[in-house]
Amino acid sequence: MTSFQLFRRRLTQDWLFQIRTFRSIADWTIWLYLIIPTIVVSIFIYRSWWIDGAPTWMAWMPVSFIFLLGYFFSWTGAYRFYTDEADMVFLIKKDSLFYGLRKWGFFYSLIFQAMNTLVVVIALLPFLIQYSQLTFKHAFYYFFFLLAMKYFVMYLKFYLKKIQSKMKRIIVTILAFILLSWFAKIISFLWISGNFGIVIIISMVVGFVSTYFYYPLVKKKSLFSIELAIEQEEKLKLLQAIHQMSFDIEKTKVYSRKKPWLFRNSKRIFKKRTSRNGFLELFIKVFIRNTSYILTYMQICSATVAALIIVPPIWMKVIIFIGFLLMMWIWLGITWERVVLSHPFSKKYQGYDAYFLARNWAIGVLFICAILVVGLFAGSGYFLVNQISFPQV
Amino acid sequence: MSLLTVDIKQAGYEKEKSVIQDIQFSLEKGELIGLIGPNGAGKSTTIKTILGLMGFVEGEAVFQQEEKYAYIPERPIFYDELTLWEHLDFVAAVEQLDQKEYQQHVVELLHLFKLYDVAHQLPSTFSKGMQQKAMLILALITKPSVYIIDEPFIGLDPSAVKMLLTSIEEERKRGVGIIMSTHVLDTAEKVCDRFLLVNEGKLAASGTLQEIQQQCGLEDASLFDCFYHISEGQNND
Repeated sequence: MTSFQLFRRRLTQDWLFQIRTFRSIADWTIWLYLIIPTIVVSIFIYRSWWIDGAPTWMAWMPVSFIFLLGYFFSWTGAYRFYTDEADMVFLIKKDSLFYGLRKWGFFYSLIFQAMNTLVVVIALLPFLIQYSQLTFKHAFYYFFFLLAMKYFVMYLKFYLKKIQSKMKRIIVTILAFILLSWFAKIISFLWISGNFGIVIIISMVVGFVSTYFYYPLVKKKSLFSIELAIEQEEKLKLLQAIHQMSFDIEKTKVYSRKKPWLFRNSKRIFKKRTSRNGFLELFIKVFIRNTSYILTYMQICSATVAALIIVPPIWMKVIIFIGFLLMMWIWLGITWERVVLSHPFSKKYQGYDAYFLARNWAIGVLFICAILVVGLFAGSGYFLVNQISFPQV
Repeated sequence: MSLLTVDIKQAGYEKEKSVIQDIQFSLEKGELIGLIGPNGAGKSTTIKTILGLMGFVEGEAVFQQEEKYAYIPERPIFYDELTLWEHLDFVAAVEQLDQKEYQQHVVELLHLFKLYDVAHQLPSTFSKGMQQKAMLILALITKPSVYIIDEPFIGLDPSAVKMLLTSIEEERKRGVGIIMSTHVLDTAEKVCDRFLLVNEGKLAASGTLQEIQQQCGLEDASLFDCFYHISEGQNND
């Protein structure tokens, strides 16, 4: 097998994986009622931008906003080499296959990201040409600059990933993001004022330097683990996005800290060490420290508050509130079981009387708190909305 | 009366699909039984059946009335969100341990197993060996009458193995009964009183080393040789 054949196989497998991931949420009903209508409507809207001119809502957008959008876009994507953890066992020993696979991955990443950038620029064309009255020349140089930025960020991401300390990595990433945004801002001034010569020279230098300096890394085995981490992130991007958006799937946070923030040094909540308090303390600490639980709790409350304020008829408000009560009660019960009962460490004690006492107490208190929060915020929200008088059109 | 009496006719995850059959034994006070056998022989299923975790069981495993037991799994289990000290606090509260005695005991154990400095850290971030030691401390603080330990030596450094064996020895003096599943046969040969050799879901041999040697027909053979003889012999049949 040649390295190209291996690359082709890995690439196909990856595409199939992404398609399967997408299909896991998009059955025929989603296609029929959501995806196909969205595609058709998008095409018509896009066409209307060309034929009928830019929509009025674009009026508030300055041209530099386009640069900002492009800048955000340039931070997506990374080099992909389609390597796997198992490659450490076999493939890494076969130099020609290993380096070949990475070489193809490198060039494919460059082409793929260029295509991506092209699609983004084409999508923004009506705004550039129709609304901002810029020329195709502007669009062409915009594409070049965006691509150069993207290649530079892809290069930068590797070095950011190399930083071991999570906190340090976050700070450096934020700093890099801010510094690069200033750079993009300067380029945007040159671009708008028509200094295309400087824009193209800077773009070419940035793009060339980024790729030229990255290419030697393709032949370094010692960087395998860092690139593997990037590869895994990129591969699972779509899956994680679906996971994040899904309301049905509860996101359980993976802890990477050595010590928790809250209740430092294992500080106890209850002085009295009864069995019931033992269960309660365990549940409360897990509930508070695992953001997925506390966020879902707040999500249910905030969605109910918003619905209670927005929906006008009182009978619908009542139905929403009853629905909230039911949903919150059921969710709290499930969460208790997930924390205490489904964990082998505490499951052993499920027959204890204290288990039931603590369960009722925890669910009851959190339920009452939720009602109070919803009542307070919905009441004040309703009051505020009624105080503001909107001008009649 | 025995601390634990096991009489499993058959057991498995589903009815009519038994993984283990005809396993009978009892655990006496102060006794250490080694549960040995090749991979997939049914050791873990035997342990799970004793713990009441199998879906289909014909037979029974009876602990002496009101006896407490502690299970130390092969793969340590912790809450991602709780520190080691909080795990210990939970067990102490739920099991209603005397607080003064517990505090003293736990500090001693944490020092002994060199985990005192990390007691306020999340055990999910510990190394495998540290997690094993933490699981052991969690079991030791409850002072159970029966220990069921699955592969205790995997991931432990030599000094931790020594500490584990010392702790086991001390607990046995207290009259505790221990069932220990392991692949480390030379250590098992030195410390266990009796052995249960499980192969293909059945009790292939049981008893002291001498009795196992007799059952194998291998005089003066090591436990390893007996194990090999039984597992390979039966597989070849």
